[in-house]
This record gives sequence, structure tokens and C-alpha cells, in this order.
Amino acid sequence: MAQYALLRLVHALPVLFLTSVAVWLLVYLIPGDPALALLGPDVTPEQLARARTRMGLDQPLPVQYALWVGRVVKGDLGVSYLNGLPVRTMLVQRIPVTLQLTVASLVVALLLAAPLGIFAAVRPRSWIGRLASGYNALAMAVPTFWLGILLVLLFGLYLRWLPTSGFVPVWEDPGRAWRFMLLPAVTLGAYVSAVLARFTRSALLESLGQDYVRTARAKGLDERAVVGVHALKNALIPVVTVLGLQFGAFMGGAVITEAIFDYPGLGRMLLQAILTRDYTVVQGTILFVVCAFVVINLLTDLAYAFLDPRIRYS
Amino acid sequence: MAHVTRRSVLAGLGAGLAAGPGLLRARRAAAKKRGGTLTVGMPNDWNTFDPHNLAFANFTLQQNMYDTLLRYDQTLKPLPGLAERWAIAADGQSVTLTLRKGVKFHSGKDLTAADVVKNFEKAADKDRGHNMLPAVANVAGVTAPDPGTVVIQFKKVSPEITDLLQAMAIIEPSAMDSLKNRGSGTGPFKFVEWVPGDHTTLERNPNYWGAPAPWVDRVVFKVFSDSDAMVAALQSGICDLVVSLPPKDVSRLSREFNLVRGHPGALTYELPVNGPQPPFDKKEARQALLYAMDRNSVVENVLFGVSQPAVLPFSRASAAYDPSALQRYALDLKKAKELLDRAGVKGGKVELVALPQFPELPAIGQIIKADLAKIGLEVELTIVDSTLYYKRLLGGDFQITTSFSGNTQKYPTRVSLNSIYRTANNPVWGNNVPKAYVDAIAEASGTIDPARQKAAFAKLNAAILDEAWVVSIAYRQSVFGLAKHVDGFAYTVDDMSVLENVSLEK
Repeated sequence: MAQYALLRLVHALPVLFLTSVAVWLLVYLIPGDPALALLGPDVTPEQLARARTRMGLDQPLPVQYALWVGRVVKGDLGVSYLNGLPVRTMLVQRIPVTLQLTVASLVVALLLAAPLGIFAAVRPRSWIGRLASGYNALAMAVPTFWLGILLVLLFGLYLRWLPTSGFVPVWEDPGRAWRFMLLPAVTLGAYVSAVLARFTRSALLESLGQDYVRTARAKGLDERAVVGVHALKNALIPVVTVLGLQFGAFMGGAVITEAIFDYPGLGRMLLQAILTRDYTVVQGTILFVVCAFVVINLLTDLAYAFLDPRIRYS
Repeated sequence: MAHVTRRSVLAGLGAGLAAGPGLLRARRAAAKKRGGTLTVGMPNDWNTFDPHNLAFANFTLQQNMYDTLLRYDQTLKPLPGLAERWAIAADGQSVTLTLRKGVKFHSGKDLTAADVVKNFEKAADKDRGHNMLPAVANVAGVTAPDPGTVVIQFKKVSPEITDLLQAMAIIEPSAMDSLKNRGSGTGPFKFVEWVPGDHTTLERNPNYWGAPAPWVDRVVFKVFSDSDAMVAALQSGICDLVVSLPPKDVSRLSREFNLVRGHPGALTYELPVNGPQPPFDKKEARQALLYAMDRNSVVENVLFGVSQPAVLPFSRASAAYDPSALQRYALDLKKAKELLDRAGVKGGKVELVALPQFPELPAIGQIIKADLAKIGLEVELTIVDSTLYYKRLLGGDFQITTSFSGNTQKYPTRVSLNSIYRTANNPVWGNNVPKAYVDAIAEASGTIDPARQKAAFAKLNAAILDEAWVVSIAYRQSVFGLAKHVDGFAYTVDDMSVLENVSLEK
């Protein structure tokens, strides 16, 4: 398995390279100039030209790219054109923040999706099964920004139970952290919970129709054991796939949710960097997100083997 | 005229001393509470800690980390700042400053005249001067005859001396190379931390010369990329104070919060027009826009009454303010149509470029679209992000755009610091800026005689209205939202927040 994991990581290198080239070109194709973002509308042409030279923006595109790659292979992601801070420092500040929101959102999603998906599969015609189907349809249809605004209005401004914005690290003050985390986590988690519940329901329905489940029931096993131990474990593979994809997507940032709750995650930083053409920050952040996707996909694949012993990597 | 008053005050060598160092103190020091963290919400982050970069986004920071040599009250009367006294020579070509004693930088080092000289050198540096570079263009030399005295010599007579001293913030020289992400001055708060795009933390400067201020221990400036989230943060108590409250929320929040309206006319909303390019290459076509603009509709429907209509950039506090212009250029569609006909413009499409960073700019664009449709011009609204917008603006790559200009309340020639009003390197005119305007700026810049100044300002207004490449729409008035427990807030004539006397009375 270790050899497989290593091979997958090596295979990721061309992906990283191609992604960085694509992002570099795409960002440069957008008209605009970081020197202008820095100096503002009253800059003179002479000041602008001098700033572009200072920032290295007067160099040909391949030269700028080669200089960037040269630094990256040495572990240096460069410094922001705008604020002069090392990109690595900026990422180190934002990654734990985004990770906290990602984990909290997926916990919320799982807490909602697991019972809903299981009940919808086991008792499809019961009231709880219908409720689950109704919830799934609603949660998938409601736009995230609208749900976020509603939650802010209801719990933040009307009931005043929870703060409307901000962030407290869970490792500093877990008691306050969850209060700040709950509304954005529910906003992000609602849609994912519906997707997960649907996958859980359909996968579990398929498992429940398999011969091994019939055998387990014929052995006289308790229905909870049949569903929980035999059927559910085999139904988890598609659920883990969705979970892995969502984890990667959230690590890339949830820009709208972050804006609504003033959440200082990677998404807002990346959006701001794109708007100001802060190329080094865009590149560094995208590089991290792609790496995160590669690692999460790998972990997802490894999880398959854990869930289904018939799967072997050699 | 306001400028005459200011000049006579200056002739009295610092008569403003009596006003004391604080601005708009709301209650006696003895009654104020000390301590606590003030959280300020703002819609934009700053992109530098350099106070010589006068970008609008940096306004909330500047007066709180740095001090200027002079301050203005709301009538633009000069008050002592880091300079306790100032003496302008009778010929208007030099000024001698006496620095306040006992002022320390955030590092603990004493402020000396040599530090002020280094700040003028930075301002005159093409790479580091930013917005102060054109402001010091007339400075011939700055010397420090002793540690407490600075003498500034000008190349020619300067009527803008107090404007220059009011804008000149003093940076600790050793911090000048790291202003991209930190700073050090003599202001009431000193730098602790900056997380770009999220927050900045400042803490009380224990050596502040304006003691017993500041009153709060820390200030946290939080950036909100969504203005509704910023308002919600004020309502839910996360923020104690927000700057640039959207006009649409002003009426709704007025009972629950103390809303402070900023200086009327620190900035002026306007419609820059690309003069040399069709269909506005004939001045009659541009003049038609002056009459086609329903300024009252903009004030009522976009700015929700938090503004006043404007025809010229110069606001009420300016010496060039002309209240009669509003009547002369009132909405008159018939006249606008006649002028368009005279210019030979028979309808057609016009692109209006707008910046979404300030939501009122595209909204004003929508009103203009409706207005110009009435005289046969079909406006297509294009919204672009800030870097592309600045590129198009400075490259003259637009037909019309909604924007705003600053420095419109100070000495009138300072309007030419805005790119669209430049007398050379102008984004639309290049170096062929209308001569009448260039001459009026030169005339007003070159005299300290009140009568000649008055005549020059009249010519300046006439040139701006005649050439009409910038159609003023309304004065911008900032609104600051304060929780009821916030006391002592003040703002400058530029609408910069002043937090030194803020206390949390809860």
C-alpha cells in the first residue's frame, strides 16, 4: 500500500505542473495589473512604470514563470506583490481556518445525512422516509447564500443567539469557537448533507437487496446489526467518495459563505488575490489546493480498502 | 471667503493653538472610561501602511497610527498637529515650523526636525512619494536649523502651504522600508498585527503626546468583503463602529445606533467623459450631459438623501464653491437635446464603465442610463473589477464612467491631483488638456492675493463647466455607524476616522 501511495504522489507531479501553467496563463490573460491595484487611480504613468519594473512585471511571461518555479522547487512561494508578506505565511494563517470550517461543515453534513439516508433506505414509505426526501430536495434547491443570509437574520439578528461573523480558533477557545462556527458550518453543510443522504440512501438500498444481507437475515441477526454492520459498511464507498470530493472543494474555499460570515478562509484570500492580480498569492494558493485534492483523493482511495477488504492495492 | 479667513489665521502665526490638540472631544476626560478593545468594521482593507499613499481604502488607518504636521477643523481652520506653531513668510515662499516637544515615535525614539526632513525627502522620491509626490512638487528644500525647527522653502509662491502640512503625515524613518506590511509613527495607536484581507490590530501608544488619550487599549479593524455582513456585525454587537455605512441602511439604523455624518464634500461623485473621443469630442455634446443629469434622483434613490447634488467638484468648505451653479445647470432635457443636436450627435450607443467595489457607482450608472435615454443616447453599463477599471480609466479606454474625486474641499488647485483633473498626463487629454483650465489652475496656484485668487477660481469653475469632461453629480458624505456605548469619535475633513478620544462607555 505504501508503494501505491508513493506512486500516486509521483503521478501527481505532472498534474501540479500542468495546473500551475494553466493557472498562471489564465490569471495573466485577465486584463489588469497588480501595480495599479497597489497604486490606485491617481498614479502617474511614470510611477506606474517604475513600480512594474520593481515588481518584475516588465519581464516576459515565461521568465516570470521560470523565476517562480525556480523559487517553488526550493520551497519558497514568493511574496505577495501587494503587501510584501511571504505567501507561505499567508497560507499558514489561512489553512487552519479553512480546515476548521471544512471539518465542521462535514461533521454537520454527516450528522444530518447519516440518519436521514439510513431511515430513507430502511423505511422508504414511512413519514421519516418522506421527511428525508423532502429535506433532500429542499437542501439541494436552496442557494447557499440565501440560507446563510436567513440564518444570520434569524439566529444572529432576531434571536441574537449566535454571532453573525468572525472566527475563533478551536485550539484557543473551543467553547467560543463552536458558536462562531455553527452558522457557516450549517450553511455549507446543508447542501452536502442532502447529497450525502441521497448517496447513502441509494447505496444502502442496493446493499439491502444483496444476497449477503438476505443470508444475514436468514441467520436470524438483529435488523440493526444487518443494516449497521453488514449493509451500511458496504454502502459507504460512494459516500466516502462524495465526502472526499467535498473536503477538497471546501479546502479550496467557500467564497460566498466566507463573505456572508466574514470568515477569514482561503477562498476570500484567493478571490482578493485574483481581483488585485496578486499573481504569486494566486499561484501559491492554487498550488496548495491542488496538493490538497491529490492527498485527499489518495486518502479516499486508501479508505476504500479499509471499508472493503476485497479491494487491494499492489 | 473661507480661504481668506484661513490665510488671515495663518498670518497670526498659529492662532489655532488655542483649540488644543484634540478634535471634537465629546466629553471631559475625567468622565471617560479607559480600557477595552474597540472593533471597527470597514468594507476595504488597506494595501499599505504608508500614509503618503492617500488611497481611500487607507483612510481609516492614517490618523490613528500617524500624525500630520497640522490638522484642520471642520471649517478648514488650521490647528496644531506635530507642528505647534507655523509662520508663513510674507512672500508666501517659505514656512517655519516649530515642532511640538516631547513627541516620541512608537519605537520610543524622539521626533526631531531631521525626521521631518527625511519624510519630505521620501515624499519627493519618485518611487516612494505616492500621492505626496505631486503635493511637494513646489518644495525647493527642507532644512532643520535645530532639532525643534523645520524650514520649508518653495520654488514659487504657494497658497497651498497649510494643505500640504495637513496632508504630510510623519513616519519613523527607520520604518520607511517596511511600510508594505507594517508601520511606525507618532499616532495614538501602534502596530501589532496585520492579517491581509481579515484584520489589523493596533494597541495603545503609551507615549502618545496627546495623553490622556488614547482611551481604549486596542483597536481591531475588521475587513468585510460584504457590506451587509458588516452591517449585521454592527447590529449583533461584533463591531462597535463601522465606517462607510451603506446609504441604504442609514434610515433603518438611525434609532438603534449613533450615526455620524462625515464632512460634506470630502469626495465628489462624478461622470468623467472621454473628451477627445466621439461622440463627446465636441464640447456641446459634453455640456449636454450637464443638463441631462437628474442629480436629485441620484441623491434620493441611490444615496438615500445622504448627500447633496453637485455641479462642480468644489464643496461648501472650498473657496471655489459656487452655489449658483446648481440653478444654472438644473435638469433641462430640452436644452440637453439642443446641445446634442448642435454637436451633431444623433442618438447612438455609449458605454458606461463602473466599478463594483463601491456599489453606489453602478447604481448611479443606472440612473444616468435612464437619464441619457431621454435625450436619445443608449447607455450600456459595463461593470469591471478594480484593476481592470483603473487600467481602462488611466488608459483613457472608456467613453463615460462613474467615479469620484477627492481634495475638493481644500485649496481648489488641489483638484488637479485627481487623475481626471490633471493638467498634464491626463488620462483622456494626455498633454492637451483644455487651455482655459490649465491657465486657471496656474493662475490660482501662483498667487496669495485674495482678489486674484477669487478671479482665478471663477475662471477655473467656468473652464470646468465649459469643457465639461467631468460632470459632477453629488457630494459624497460618509456615514459612520457607532454603537451607543462608543463615545468621542471624530473624523477629519477628508473623512478619515479619528479614534484617539474614543472610549467604550459600557
